[in-house]
Formats: sequence, structure tokens, C-alpha cells
Amino acid sequence: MKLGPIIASVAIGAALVGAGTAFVKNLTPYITFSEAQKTNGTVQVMGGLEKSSVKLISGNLSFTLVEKKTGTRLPVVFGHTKPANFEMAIEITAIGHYDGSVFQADNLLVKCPSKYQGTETKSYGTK
Amino acid sequence: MILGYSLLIIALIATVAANVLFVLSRGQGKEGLAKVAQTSVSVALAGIVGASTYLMYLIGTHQFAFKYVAEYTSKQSATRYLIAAFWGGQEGSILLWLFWTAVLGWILARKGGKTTANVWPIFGLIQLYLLGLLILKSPFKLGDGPIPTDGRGLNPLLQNPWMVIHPPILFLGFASTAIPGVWAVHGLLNRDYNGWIKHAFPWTLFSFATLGFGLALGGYWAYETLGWGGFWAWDPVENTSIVPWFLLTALIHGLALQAKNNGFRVSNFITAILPFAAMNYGTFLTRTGILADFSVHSFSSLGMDAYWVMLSAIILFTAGPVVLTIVRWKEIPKDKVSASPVSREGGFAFASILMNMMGIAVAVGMSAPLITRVWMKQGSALQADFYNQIGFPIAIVVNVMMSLVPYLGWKKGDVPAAFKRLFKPYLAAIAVTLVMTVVSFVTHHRAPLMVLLFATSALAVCANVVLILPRLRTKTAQLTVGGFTAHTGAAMVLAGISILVAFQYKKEKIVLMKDSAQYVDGYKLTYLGHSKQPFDKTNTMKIKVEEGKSSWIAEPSYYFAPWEGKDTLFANPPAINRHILGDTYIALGGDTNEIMDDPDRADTPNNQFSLKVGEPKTIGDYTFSLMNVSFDDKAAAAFRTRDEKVFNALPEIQLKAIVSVKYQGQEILATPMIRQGKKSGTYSDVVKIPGPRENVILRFVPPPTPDQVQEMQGAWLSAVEDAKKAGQPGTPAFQQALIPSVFLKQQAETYQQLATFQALRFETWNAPDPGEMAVIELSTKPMIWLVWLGSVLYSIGGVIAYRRRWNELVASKE
Repeated sequence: MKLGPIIASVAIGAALVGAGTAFVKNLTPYITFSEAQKTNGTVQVMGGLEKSSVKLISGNLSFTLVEKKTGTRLPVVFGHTKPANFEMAIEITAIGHYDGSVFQADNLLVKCPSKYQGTETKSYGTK
Repeated sequence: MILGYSLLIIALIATVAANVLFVLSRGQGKEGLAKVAQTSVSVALAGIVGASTYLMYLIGTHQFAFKYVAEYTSKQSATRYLIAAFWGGQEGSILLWLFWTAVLGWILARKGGKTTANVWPIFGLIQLYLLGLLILKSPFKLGDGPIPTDGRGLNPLLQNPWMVIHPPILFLGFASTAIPGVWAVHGLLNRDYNGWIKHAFPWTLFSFATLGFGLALGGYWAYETLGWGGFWAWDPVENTSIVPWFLLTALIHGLALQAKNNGFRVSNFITAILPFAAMNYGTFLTRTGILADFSVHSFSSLGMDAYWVMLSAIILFTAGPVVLTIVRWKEIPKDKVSASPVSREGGFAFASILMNMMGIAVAVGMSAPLITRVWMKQGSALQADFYNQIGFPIAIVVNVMMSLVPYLGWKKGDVPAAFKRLFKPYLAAIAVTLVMTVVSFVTHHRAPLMVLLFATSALAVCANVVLILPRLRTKTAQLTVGGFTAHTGAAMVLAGISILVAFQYKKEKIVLMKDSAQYVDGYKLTYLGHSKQPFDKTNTMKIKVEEGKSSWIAEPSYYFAPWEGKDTLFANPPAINRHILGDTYIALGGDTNEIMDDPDRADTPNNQFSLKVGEPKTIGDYTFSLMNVSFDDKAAAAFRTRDEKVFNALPEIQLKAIVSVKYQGQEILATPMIRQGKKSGTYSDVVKIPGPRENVILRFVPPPTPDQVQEMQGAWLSAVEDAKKAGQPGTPAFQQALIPSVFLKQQAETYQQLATFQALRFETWNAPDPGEMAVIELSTKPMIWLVWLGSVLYSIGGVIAYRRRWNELVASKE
């Protein structure tokens, strides 16, 4: 057997394994609030913003998300800069983990209500 | 409305006519029909240009009866934003896409020569698809109800000069991805297995250059305007543009290979249709709302009818050519592979495969929310780190290939000889990498992976520049530098990214008080004030930034734009100081009003006092009376049991006080609240009360914990024990010894009262005027110009290569 195809197959195999691993490692499943409160790893939750709950506490953005289907409330804390147009959000996606009492968000995706092209609201993350 | 639709329908009929006439003109003696077909193409273009002009006219004359005009323009819109509104919404952007498609189609008909009659009908199908889509989702729909007196206007976040430039160029790139595929299908249909690439090649390069430039513009816009400091987020809308670009790059290398030695004859057909397929796929994902929950960039949904049209088109334009390739498989000549894998040909082959894989990987990543729905209920998002993790090794490989392959000979590459010729570039690359390594050690930014990426990028840049320079001397050789220029550009972008990842720095939430300088990591920052009211779009904050001897006045903006009457959009465009070593980037980092409300701010309170219900207290100009204390229901029930254990077992209690505050004849009722949780800690409200400059705050101080009460009581009891040493309780000696510690008794009693909520403790403080504060984010972006210069270079490289291949095509008189 020629060496070339062997090397190529091994390389391709390694590449696929590498990409697949990276893919699975970076998945953040969308789950319900109650599931999130039981999970340890990084997950993704989505809910409406309880506008009256938005506060800055010790410099960190703190707010409560309300799950659309169940009405469950989840307190969230986000350590980075408050995303622009936060209070206008009809929906917020938070990526992070639950620490026992509050959801520590690493990333927030804020969805604004108007329908137009390219809402340039960016998520603010850990980098 | 009728005019708009009519123009589109005229274009539709003309396109169908062109298709039919071109097909018929292939018959014997029917060549004259081709001329009529050409006229049809012009008529179709005229119709589409007419419809576009009509839309622009409607926008320019503020015809708010039309739904699209009312949604994206208003009477106050500046002219350039009226222009931008053309593509501000779904329907208009599809019209923009169709516009460019029609223009390119007209050029295709003119320049196709003998092949036009064979090729154009294939292209015509695409034009038909877009026309059909546009008739379904038309910007010419009238609104329901009465004609509004004014329109909504373009979203304030899009009111930016870039909105005028970036979409047209990007959409030209989008439209042009169709053409290589059209030539490929022509090649398959008409059994022209070699000639099609001569035509497809220049078009592919044009598409690569335009799309790549559009991408760069988008990134630059994001960096300069949005205040988050980045230029690429791997968001689905962004990915929709970059996946076709990777696939075009793969096609370029595949075509070069086939041009050289007829390799990849079969796979090039598939590679040629992938860019358009990917573009349609991404457009479909982002515009139909499927990814609505997974991106902030998603458009509103297109609607079910358009959904099916798009989906059918994707299937037809992708599956069709694949089936055709399979059908023609046996016929397609497959030359024996004559070159060694280690050769320039091998390099091209590998490059084509690798770029296809990168494009597919990003497309898979972008589809993660859909793919994961197979085994996860609601699907899962994919963090952007995925793209960085797969991109890094690929970037290294790409850099190495871009350095080595241009030095390999054809047929069989002499690797040792190539290394010899690479000696000087290698030295140069090592030199700059050493500089980077030293800097990384000195600045404590150890990033060995980024040093590796930089090293390989530097090598690729030097290796390609060495090949470009001698060729610039002669006119004929000049046109051959396209590939090397593009490589230099791409490697430069990667070098820039490696430096940014290694060295960029960001400090958030820097609170500056007016006119008082603060030192932050080598920068001296002084907030000088803001220029206008925050609701004025031209509002800027002036911040003096001094670093060493240099100083500049940063003027980042922050403004609230009224939108829809009630809501306000907040924007924070940054101030950027550009310097050859990098950019200093300052953006607003927070709302100063909220900083003021943060109960944990480090100002010192000017009064602390406790209140009992029914016992008002006057402090300075203020009279405070505690009217009521109430718990949340669970805590109230526990409190009623008078059992400390039950009360303390609660995970969280909420306590609300109603305090009447009288100040200079005014009375307000303040309702500060405290939340005390076992795990979540204590959060207490602050309330603004009337005062000088309306910025006095009343803060509810948390009651002492049972431990603190015990500690205080313990302190009193020890004092009593100590006093007993002086004399028996009741004796004057005892009393004397106790006098210094009597306050402990008072404190213990107060603590007891506070802990049992018979009294509550408050403090007031003067908070600064929010106008006197600025909260900023400071970032440094070292050598970021490498990214911009690199992206310009790869586009220029594409244009040069386009010119070369175009000349070749003309010379071959196909």
C-alpha cells in the first residue's frame, strides 16, 4: 500500500475527529429554566426580560428572565458591559451556568422588537 | 403599485422569452433568434432597472402609502439614508440582489460570444427564480389602513455611511456567485468538459474579489461603529457571506489545477456550484427565521410562500447539477494524474480540498441549531469558539502551504530546492517572530499558539512578496502576481489576528468623574464633560487620554435615538485613535444613571440613622418617618410565628419599607426594598429623593444578621464582666468602670431592634450628577491595520488574477 493514501486517510480521520470534538464541546443546548437549574455545564436559556428587575449591583448587571411557556423566573447576573438596547429586548438569550442561586451569564444575545435588516445588536462575551 | 409589479412582470416575461429564444436559436438557420434573445435580455434588464428606479422614486418622494417606504424611511431621513433604505428591508435587499443579477446577466449575454445561446438559459433560470421571489415579496405592496403622515425611518443603528456602501458591494458579490455554477452546468449539459473553465475562471475571481471586499467592509463597519471592539462574530449572517468566499477560493485553486493539467475535471463541476448553493442556503436560514432564536442578526420571517420558493430553488440549483454530474460521469475524460502530490499541482489540489472543507465546516457550524434538533429537543447553539478552534489549525496549514507551494515546481516539486529559495523569507519571518516573542515576554502576554500563527503568516507574507517584486518590472509579468498578492493579503490578515489575540487588552467599567484624572494601566484618563444632551445624536463625551508624552481627546458618542415614539435605541460608537502600533479604542461602557443607583458604589454615606415606626427623625433639611414595614408573604408568615428558627430557615426574604421624606415643604413616599438571600446575598434598593441637584439617595441598610447581633451582645456582656472586676454590680466602682462601654449596650439594643424589625436603618448620600460621570471601556487593538490592509490586498490580488484570466479568455477567442 502506498504511503500517501495512508497518511492522507489518517490526516483526514484526525481532522474529522478534531472538528467533531470541537463541535460537540462548543454546543450550548437550549433548555428550560428548571433544567438549567439542575445542570452543571454551560447551557443556553431564553426568556423575556422583567423590566423592573434590571439593576446594577456591585457593578454587575442583574436582572430576571421569565420563561415564556412556564412563567418561571430566573435571576441572572452578567459581569460585562450591559448590551446596548437591553431594556428594549423582547427576548434575551443567556449563555452560562447556574451556580445554585443565580444564573451566571458569560454571553447575552439581545433581540430587539423591530423587524428590519441586520439588527446590529451584538452579544458581549468573555473576550 | 401596478407600475412596480408591471415592470417586474415585464422583466419576467422578457427573461422567459430570452431563455426560449436562446434555446431555439441553437437550431440550424435560427441564429437570428439569438439577436432577438439579446434584446429580450436588455428588456428584462430595463424592467428590473425600471423597478429599482421606481422604488427609489417612491422612497425619494416619501410615498408612505407603500408599506416598504413607510417602514424604512421618514420625512427627516437624510438623503443618503433614503438611498440606504432601498436595501434596508427584506424586499428591497432582494431587489438589490436581483438588480445586480440582471446587470451581470446582461454582461454575460454580451460577452458570452458563441456560447451565449447555450449558457444564458441556465442563468435565466436564476433570474426567473429571483423575479418570482420578488413578485411574492415585493416592496411595492401598499400598506393597510390609512396612509401614514410620516414613515418610521431607517433604524437609527443603521443610519451610518457604511449602510450606503457595504450592502451594494456585498450583494454584487452574492449575485456573482451564481455565474461560475452557470458555466459549470453549461459544461455538463453541452458536453464542454474543458472549455467552460476558461469562462468560469475570470468570473470566479471577480466574485472572490467583490465578496471578499464586501466582507472586509462589513467587518470594518462593525469595528468602527458598534462600540464592542470586534469585527467578526461568526454570526449566521456573517457566515452566509464567508462560506461562499471559502468555496470560491477552493474553486479558484481547482480551476487553476484543471487549467494546468486537466485535474479535478469532475469535482470542479460540483465545486463550481457550491458557492451559489451555500449562499442560497445561508440566505434561506437567516431570512426565514429558522435561526431566529440563535442569532441577533435574523431577519423577520419571509413568510411561508417565499419559504417554499427558496427551498425549492435551493434543491433545484444544488441537486440538479449534482444529478447532471452523475449522469455525465462516464463521459467526462479523466486524465491520469501525472503530477506528484508534492508539486505545485498537488498544492493546488490540496488547497482546493482544504478550502472546501473549511467552507463546509463553517456551514455545518452555522446549521448546528438545526442539526442538533435531531437528537436534542430544542436544538443547541454553537459557541463561536468552535470556528476559532477549527480555524486555527487550518490557518497554520494554509500559511505553510501559501509559503511553500509557490516555490515548488510543476509535475514534481523539489522540496529541498524550495527550502533553499525560501531562505531569505524564512530569515525575515524569524526576525519579526523574534520581535513578537520578545514583546510577548516583556508584556507578560504569553501566547505561544499565536506566535506560531504569526510566524507562519510572516513566512507566507515574505515568501509571496519575494515572488511579487521581480514580476512588477514587466507589463506581462505584472498580471501574474494576482495569486501571490492574494496570499500576501490573506496571510497578513492572519498575522493581524494573531497579534490581536495575543496582545489586545480591554478594561471595562472604568468610572471617570468629571475633571478628575484617573490612571488606568499606563493611561491617564480625564473626563471633560459631554457636548450635548444624550438624546441628541451628535452627543459625544470628551475624554482626554494621555499615554506617556502623547495625548488625544477621545470623543466617543453615546446617544438615545427615539424609535417608534416610545422606545429608545441606545448607540455607543467608539472613539478610535489610530497609530501604526495599533488602535486605542474607547467606547461608552455603561449608563451613568444606573451606576448612580448601584447601592454598592464606593461613595461614603453622609448620614446613617435608624427609624422606628411612628418616630420621625430630622436630619439637616430632611425629616424621615417610617410609615410601614412589610415582608413578602412567606417571610411575613414566618415572622408571625415569632420563631427565629423558622424565619432564619427561609432561603430568601424581601423587606419593604415605606418612608415619608419631607424636604423643604415637599413630601415624597420612598419605598426602598431589601432582598436578603442565604445564597444570593443581600441586595438593597436605593431611592432618589429631592435634594440639591436632585441627587440625594436614600439607601436601606440591611439589618444585622443574628451573628452580628450576638457579637454585639457578646461585646456588651464582656464589657460588663470586665467592669465586675472593678467592683460588684450596683457599686459606684462598677458603674464607673462601665461608663466607657455603655454605648455597647445601646448598640446591642439597637441591633436587637433592627434584627427584629422594630426599627430599620437607612443612610443618605449625595450621589454625583450622572452628567458628571462617564463610564468607559478602554481597549487597545495592536496592529489591527494588518487586518484591513490584508483584506484590501487579497481583493486586489483577486482583481489582478481576474484581469489575467479575462485576457486569456479573450485571447483564446472562445
